[in-house]
Amino acid sequence: MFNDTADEDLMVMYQKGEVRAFEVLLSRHRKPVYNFILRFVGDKETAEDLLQEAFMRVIKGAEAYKRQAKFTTWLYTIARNLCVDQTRRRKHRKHASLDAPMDSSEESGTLMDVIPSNEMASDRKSVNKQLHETMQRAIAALSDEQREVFLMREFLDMPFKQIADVVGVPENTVKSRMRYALEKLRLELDEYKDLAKVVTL
Amino acid sequence: MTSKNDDDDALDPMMRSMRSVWLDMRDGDAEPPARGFAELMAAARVKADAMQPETTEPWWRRGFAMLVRPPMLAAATVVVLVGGAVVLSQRNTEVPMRSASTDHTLRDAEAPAGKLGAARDSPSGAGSAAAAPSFETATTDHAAPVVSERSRRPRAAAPAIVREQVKDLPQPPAEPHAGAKLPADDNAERGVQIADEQEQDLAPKAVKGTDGTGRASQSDGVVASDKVPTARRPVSPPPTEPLIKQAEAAAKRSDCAVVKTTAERIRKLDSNVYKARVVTQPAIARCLK
Repeated sequence: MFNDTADEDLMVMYQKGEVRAFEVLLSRHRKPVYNFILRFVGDKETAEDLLQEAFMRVIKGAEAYKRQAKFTTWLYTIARNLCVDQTRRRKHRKHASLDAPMDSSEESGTLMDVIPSNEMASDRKSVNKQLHETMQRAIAALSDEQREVFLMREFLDMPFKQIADVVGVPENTVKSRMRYALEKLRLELDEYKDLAKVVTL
Repeated sequence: MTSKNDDDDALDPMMRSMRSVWLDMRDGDAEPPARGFAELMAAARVKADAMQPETTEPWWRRGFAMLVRPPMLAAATVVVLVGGAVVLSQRNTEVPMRSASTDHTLRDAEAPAGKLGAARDSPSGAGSAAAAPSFETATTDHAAPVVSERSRRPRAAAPAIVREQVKDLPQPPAEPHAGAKLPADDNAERGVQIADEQEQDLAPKAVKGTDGTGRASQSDGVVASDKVPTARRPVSPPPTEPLIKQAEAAAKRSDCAVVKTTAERIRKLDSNVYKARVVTQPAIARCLK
């Protein structure tokens, strides 16, 4: 019924008491928001909590929502702020999460070390999975500012203007952060370029 | 959603191949756990109920619901009470206004009232029988509510006093039919009562019949009737007198427009005076022609 309806219209319907509209919004954005949060904070449980909190804030703030505002901008602003707060808290506590991504500066070894050479070429799926993990670590190694821009740009296909609105910085700053993020990723993943070519072929 | 051209320009071949990896990662996005979904929906329902506008009911039902609330009922009661008080107070102020409007009626009926007075003073059958009906007709035609309202009031004292005063006055010589009660005497007596009451209420009318418009009374051949109110009321000039003087002055200077206007006013105020004192004056009559 509401599958073709725009997010903003669904939100207005929800403001008028249509719960089904919110259900559609939830089912439409739950997964991308969850994965955005998961890649940002790198922790499943935290991501689940933050996802819940993000939509709770949407519900609480639904009354104040204006039709002129893009819903995804509003939603990802909430999610991003929650992630930033969470990251700050974690840094403040100086408790390293057990399943936190490895720092790129650490002597954590390379993908070649992780994947035994005899299995690498044979099992493409396995290689693909491990390459994803490596990519995830590289992304986690980015600074918060670079990571959020990179995630929104590459994983959510957001235009720079919208990212700038979500992050609250000028568009040029967003582009600059994106450039630095890509440069850092290139450096991080340089030694896996041949492997990436194999997987993508 | 966006074109990647601006990014592609910044990417070297190595990064392009890596991009395919992270784009491939998107396909493997994890499903969020179902935990918390029900809680979210419950919270959403509660919020939806809170946000739901109250326009589902028709306007008249909402209006009715608002009207039957105690504050509105109290306000309506106050409005009704205040409104009733205002209406009643206006009605009370209307009564003097109506009695003022009956002045014209009474003035028109002045001559018959005079006849009535004559009938009271000298109960000769012809005068009383002729006067009483004409007075009643004049009164009831124009000011029936007032008269009927007054007739409802207890008025035992006033006529008695008036009769005593009338007794004190010098009586005309007895006539052959003085003691006899004619058939019209009941009507005449009622007329006397009403006339007495109106004489008490309306001083100008009584005065007018005596002083200023004495000629009018004379023209009707009834003079004695006006002595009774004269004895009781302070004398003030009738309202037609200045108008007559004004008309005479205007006629002298041949200002016929003023004469006509003034004569019309006199006629409206007192048609008898108009006939007796305005039309009879040649200078005025010339203008009126």
